[in-house]
Amino acid sequence: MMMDLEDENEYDQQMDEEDDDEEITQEDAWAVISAYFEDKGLVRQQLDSFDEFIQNTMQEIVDESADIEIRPESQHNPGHQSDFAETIYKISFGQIYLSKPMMTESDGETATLFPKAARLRNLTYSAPLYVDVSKRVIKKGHDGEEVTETQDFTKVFIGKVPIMLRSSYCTLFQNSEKDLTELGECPYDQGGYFIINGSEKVLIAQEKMSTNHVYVFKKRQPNKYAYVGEVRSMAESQNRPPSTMFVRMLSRASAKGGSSGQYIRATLPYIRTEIPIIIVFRALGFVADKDILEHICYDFADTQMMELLRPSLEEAFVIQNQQSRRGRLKAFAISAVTDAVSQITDVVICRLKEEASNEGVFKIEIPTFYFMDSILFLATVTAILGRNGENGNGHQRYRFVTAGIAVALDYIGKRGATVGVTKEKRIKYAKDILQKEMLPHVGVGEYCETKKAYYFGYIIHRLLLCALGRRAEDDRDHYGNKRLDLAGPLLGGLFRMLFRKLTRDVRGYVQKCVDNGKDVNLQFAIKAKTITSGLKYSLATGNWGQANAAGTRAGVSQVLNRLTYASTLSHLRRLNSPIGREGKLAKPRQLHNSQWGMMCPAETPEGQACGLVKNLALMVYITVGSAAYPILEFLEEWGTENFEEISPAVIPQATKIFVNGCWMGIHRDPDMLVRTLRKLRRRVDVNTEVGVVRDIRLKELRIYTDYGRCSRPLFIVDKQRLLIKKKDIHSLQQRESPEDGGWHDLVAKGFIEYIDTEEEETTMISMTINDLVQARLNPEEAYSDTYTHCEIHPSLILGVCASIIPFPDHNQSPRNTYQSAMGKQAMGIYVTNYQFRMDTLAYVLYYPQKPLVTTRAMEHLHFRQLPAGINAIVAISCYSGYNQEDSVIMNQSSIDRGFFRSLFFRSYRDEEKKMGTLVKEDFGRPDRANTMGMRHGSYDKLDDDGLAPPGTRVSGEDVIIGKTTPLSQEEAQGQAARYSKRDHSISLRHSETGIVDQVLLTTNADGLRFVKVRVRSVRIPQIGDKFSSRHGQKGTVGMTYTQEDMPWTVEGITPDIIVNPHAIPSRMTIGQLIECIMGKVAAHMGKEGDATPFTDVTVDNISKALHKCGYQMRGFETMYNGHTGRRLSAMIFLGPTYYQRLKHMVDDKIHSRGRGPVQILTRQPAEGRSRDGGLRFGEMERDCMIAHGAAHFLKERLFDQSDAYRVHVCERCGLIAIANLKKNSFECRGCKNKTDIVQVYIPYACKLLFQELMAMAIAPRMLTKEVKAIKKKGA
Amino acid sequence: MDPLPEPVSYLCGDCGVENTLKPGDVIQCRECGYRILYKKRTRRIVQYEAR
Repeated sequence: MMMDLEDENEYDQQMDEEDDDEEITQEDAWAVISAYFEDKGLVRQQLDSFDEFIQNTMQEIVDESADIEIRPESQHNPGHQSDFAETIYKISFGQIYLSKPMMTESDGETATLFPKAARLRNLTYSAPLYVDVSKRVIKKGHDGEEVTETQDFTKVFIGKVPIMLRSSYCTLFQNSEKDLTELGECPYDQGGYFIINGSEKVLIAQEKMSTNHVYVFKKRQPNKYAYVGEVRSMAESQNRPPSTMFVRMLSRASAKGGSSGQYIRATLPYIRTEIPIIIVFRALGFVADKDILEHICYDFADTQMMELLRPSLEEAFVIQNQQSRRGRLKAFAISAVTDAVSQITDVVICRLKEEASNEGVFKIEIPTFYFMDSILFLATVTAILGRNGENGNGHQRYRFVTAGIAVALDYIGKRGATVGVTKEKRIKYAKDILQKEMLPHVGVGEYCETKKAYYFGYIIHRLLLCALGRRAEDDRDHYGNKRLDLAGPLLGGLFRMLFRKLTRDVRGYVQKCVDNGKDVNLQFAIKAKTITSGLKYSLATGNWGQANAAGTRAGVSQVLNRLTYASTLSHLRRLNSPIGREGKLAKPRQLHNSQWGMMCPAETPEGQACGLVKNLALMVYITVGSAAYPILEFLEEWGTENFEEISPAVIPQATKIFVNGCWMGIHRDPDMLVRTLRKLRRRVDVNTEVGVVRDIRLKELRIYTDYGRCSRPLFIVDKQRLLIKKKDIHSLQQRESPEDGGWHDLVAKGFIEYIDTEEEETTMISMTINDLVQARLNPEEAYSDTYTHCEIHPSLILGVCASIIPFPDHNQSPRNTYQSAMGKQAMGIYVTNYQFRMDTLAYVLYYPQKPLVTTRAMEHLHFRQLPAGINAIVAISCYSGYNQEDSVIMNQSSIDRGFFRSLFFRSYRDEEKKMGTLVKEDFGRPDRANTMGMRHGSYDKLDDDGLAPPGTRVSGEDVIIGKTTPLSQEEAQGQAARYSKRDHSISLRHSETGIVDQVLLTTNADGLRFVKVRVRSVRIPQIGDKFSSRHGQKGTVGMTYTQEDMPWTVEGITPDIIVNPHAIPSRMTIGQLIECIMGKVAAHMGKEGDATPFTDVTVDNISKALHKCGYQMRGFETMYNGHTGRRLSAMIFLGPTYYQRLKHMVDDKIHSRGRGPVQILTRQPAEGRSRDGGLRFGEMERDCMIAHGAAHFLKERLFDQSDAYRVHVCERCGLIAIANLKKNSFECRGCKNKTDIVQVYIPYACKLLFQELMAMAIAPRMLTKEVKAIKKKGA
Repeated sequence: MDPLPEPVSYLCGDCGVENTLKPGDVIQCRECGYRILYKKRTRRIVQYEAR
């Protein structure tokens, strides 16, 4: 009784406390989300990654290859004796300095560069990089004395580095909205891209498999191997392709000789064949079988695992034996011993077989057996060595071990690239491979053997676990096994390569100077162009790596999409997996469970790249990488035992500690360790991006600090309660400036932490805050009683484009994918400074509206500020039949009032190129009197400077930029003498019209005159233009009706758009219907509707609200036919729906051709609308005609309307004859025939083929008579 | 032989001052030194389609 009372008191107290710090609601989570976006923006991954590169990586790369030492090569210089025996030059690079982006004009003036100027003048937005260089000359005298001269050069220019916009080195960094506007920038622009030669380039994140990670895969049988273990090892800060190591277990069936079979072998780098694992161990210095087994299966009581290792031990013994026989041991002795050994082994095996049924004995006997062979071997060798007169047991043991190592190393060395070298060299070679090439992430220095042996043993251990079925094979597609290369690492790789090239060039130059006895001038030695143009080349072309070198990746850098604001954002958050597109393998394309919250489940292209190109979800953070040493220090301090301190026997009881895939040691109280580590991380004492993964089953603790992991923030839950409380939300909302408090504080206070994909597997995350409440109230029915985290909001799993869709959770999933693709083609306002920009193509919508039905995420995507659509009144109805098959009927009166009008801009550019030193192109109005090759368009619109002024209406092929090139002497000679120039003007595209909007005149990077002309045209919606709702429902305008012909409601409302009801049932875009009724409610109440997915808005709620507004609750309305005035028999679903105008418009597509331009080579019609080309009558069309029997029509299409050509053929030889139609003379020179000539009509392409064949000494003869007749004539 | 091209006026992209350039002149504002110039609007009659 007393107990109960006390409990109640406690409970009351708790209740009191709860009032103070009340639980937060899902609504409050949005305050947290706002704080996140306020702090981070939308392209944080790009900016963070680039900043990391600039601030740390670049200096690290310079330090890596900082020192160059040059010794003079001995020159043949008779009669000249130098004062010094040797002169050594040492050049070292030190501190680097990066300035703000700069531009040096052709007249030598240097000024800071702003992005606007870079874009307009086609410059590169890059900052000069300087480095401290010191040159030391060490002169060694003949008598050993040394003289050192040191010369320091500070801030030597070594190249220009393109700067990412809005990164910390950008001129726009932390500028206020007002300043940005004054600089001609859009305050909504997020940066995260580069400007290379005036075009904006994005670096697309590249997905790759994580390195230094053991993967074990089961091979699909039949296969030579049953299991394969794989490690792609890459040492930190090493720019080499990862060195892959395979450990394979053979399939039972494939073993030759029918013995126990399942050998385990390893593939080492540079070694041709597979090496038995035991040999690798021996080569690493572990000779005794006991030592080896200890490193693999730790626990000798594990008989199953020991049994799996048996074949490998046997295999190795045979090898050791053979090697020894060839070596130092005497033949007679060894044969006797091997006989003995094999006899004993046989006996043991027999005994084992007998005892196999008798399990009890089996278990005890096995381990002793395994040491049998090594004991025997030891005994044998000892015996023989003893006979040779060696004394002292320790010494013998030592000899034996070294002999074992040598044999193993020799075995490996023989299988490498060593042909015809001595045994010593082979052994050295094998040693080097083991030290430097095998598993470099464990260590490449000396005395790493123990660590390497442990790691190698661990690989085998994992393989065996999988083979024994104790652990499932690894999942290649798990996102925890993936890393993303962002701008930073990509540029880092490039910069490392270029800087090495620079140092190599410096070395070459200095070497040359030294050898020729000249003075070394560092200013000449350092070629800044290497880095400047190297970085520019890759960023401009997207070919990552050196120009015309193999192994480059294409498409890494892309031109930033500026169609609409959302498409720009989405492009900056895109990611690519470079796995072969051709591969039929579907798995990498599929959405994986582990991608939850990291990758958008809807936004991916259709077709070839489906599932390979992905987009980041809204709240993803990509780690930039942090140093591992604080973690290592921490581990050391908290009782991690490294390999020197432990015996392998304790491993099974303890937990293995891995840092970045590298096994550091073991710990006996992992629980405490993990708890401490997490606590420190939540206090930001340890970097928040560090991943702590405790695998309880495997007894492993994996800690990650590397770059490229996907992680996302989550609320931390303790005892089924969120750590963040209402008061924290209040203080977040009430803070005065965005600087204090905010997101960073939430993380620092330990309310929120970043969880990466691998760590996510060890957490229990509740979907909503409500789930936690329910779990507390109703523990029996709760899904979990051990929640560790809680989602901030489930709608954040979506990406940029999918976040614009209202009610995506009510749509069939492919429709969301379609909309995600279409949202990128919608017109809107792509940036606020579009009037200051000269984009090659730009679309701007006249009166864009923010949607009536919104999602919460739109707030952070600035969709309200930069919308891409209009709230149209949409009726879903059949009406006159002009909206069948995904077409829509549009209200012409609305169009006349400005509905979906848009602007189209196209910019043309040209420069006065220099040809040689004196000849230069000239802008100006060409004169027909002295200019050759003038266009047939009008030149009247040009001013004297050769440019059409703004306000001029231009159409067809009117010239807008007049430019001429002086004719060279030779060229002018052949032509009529009156010509002195050739026309190189640029005329408007022939299918377009418009008004010159803006003309810009400037000089570019080379100091050449450079113009850009922007032409504007207004596009009014018309039949054939494409529109779409936000639910993947696209359609073209099939008919426009004026208002009086449109159906109307009792209120007199006529729809703007009528879509066909058939568009709905099969596509199941229920979201559109809900959007419509919610839009109706929103319009009536003068509010915005919230259509965020995964909230508890229901159709019933909306319907009730609509009913209250005085409408039919489901959105139906009685309507009257506009043509007849009769009431429509069905009620029509009508309401406001947000519609987008897509960039595809008929005026840009319309095309027809009768006759027109032909290709020069084949004389067949040109291809494409822009060249006024023909329409292809292709293979399949041809097939139809053949099937139809329309042979004459076919001939007309393929011949008469294409490349008909007439040739004259000699009837005697069948070859083409000479014909002069003017003189009416025909002749075949070969046959001396002037009479028997016929005219033949063949395709020009055929004539071309014949001539090409003739050039190859093949005579294609066109025979017009029967072959017999000709042969007779010939004979 | 050519009728000498007349100088054309441009507006500075920064300060908005009118600059008159002859062929071959350096493209730079005389007032502020800014190197982006814009052409002035046409003086011809323009007709718009008011649809």
